[in-house]
Amino acid sequence: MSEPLDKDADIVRRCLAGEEAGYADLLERHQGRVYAFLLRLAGNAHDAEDLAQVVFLKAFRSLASFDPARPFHSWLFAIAHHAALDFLRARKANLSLDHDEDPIDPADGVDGPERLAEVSLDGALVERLIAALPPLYREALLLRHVEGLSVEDVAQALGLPEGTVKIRLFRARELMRRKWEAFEKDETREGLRP
Amino acid sequence: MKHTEDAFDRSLNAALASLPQPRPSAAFSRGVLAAWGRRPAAAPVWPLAAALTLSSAALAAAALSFTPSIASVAPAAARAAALLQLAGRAALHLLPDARGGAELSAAAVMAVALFLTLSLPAVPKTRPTGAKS
Repeated sequence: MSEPLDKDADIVRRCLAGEEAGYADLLERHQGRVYAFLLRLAGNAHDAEDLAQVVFLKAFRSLASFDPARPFHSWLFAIAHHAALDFLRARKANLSLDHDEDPIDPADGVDGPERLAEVSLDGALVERLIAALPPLYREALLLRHVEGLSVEDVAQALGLPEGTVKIRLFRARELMRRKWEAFEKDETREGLRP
Repeated sequence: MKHTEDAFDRSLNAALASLPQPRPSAAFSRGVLAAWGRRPAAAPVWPLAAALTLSSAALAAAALSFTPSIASVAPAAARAAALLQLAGRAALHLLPDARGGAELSAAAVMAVALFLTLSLPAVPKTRPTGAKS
């Protein structure tokens, strides 16, 4: 078992034994990741903080059901995933939320799968590309590539088979590529104008 | 789903891995801990157990002393339903986050036991038809 896993399991044991300081430790260790994940799903700081509070309170109440053999953060992300989905459903942010259809629109991109030798993506552009993804793809991508969870842990957090997670990750990347290609095309067109 | 990593993928991976981690406001953790601190304290189990034992004992004693008439069953059931409803509301009020069914079940059983304990002595003894005084 790795050190962080041990550490979290130890803090959880302290909490369950009635040590109030343990809750502050869990919060301190995980609030950044949970908040960042929820911010990129909810789209604004106010909603992200409200959601993060709901997630931590729910987690604190359910600590007894946490399995110490699993990473604490993937258990926490499972709670965050449900909270975010409820929130987005209430807001009806995206109609494709409940469906796993392929939202890739061929019109979004260039004609062929061009493979460029040099690509430079800055943080701001990547944030825009992430924000343009449907939430179901966005959360899989965030957990895997930003939070660094394994595909197995992402699957557990989202309650999905690993194969479905891989498909969502693939589609998310393809969508981002097409958006980026369309963006580059527009930029070039803008640059050629007199 | 075969996919070959190209310049876009490499650049995307690098950009994703180096995205900054936004932090919540300074008040966030204080707010969470304050909300957590305001949670209702877990109700100790022993008062409920003691109440259940006492009311069960009282019920048993009452049952040994009195025999209810058939006619008293319907009003008794109506009173039991009303009392259960009241007990349920009180339990929900005392346990707003409903940490489980155990407390509710205990409250309901206690309400039934108390009701029977209080109501049975009020039921008059009936005499067999035709009995002489």
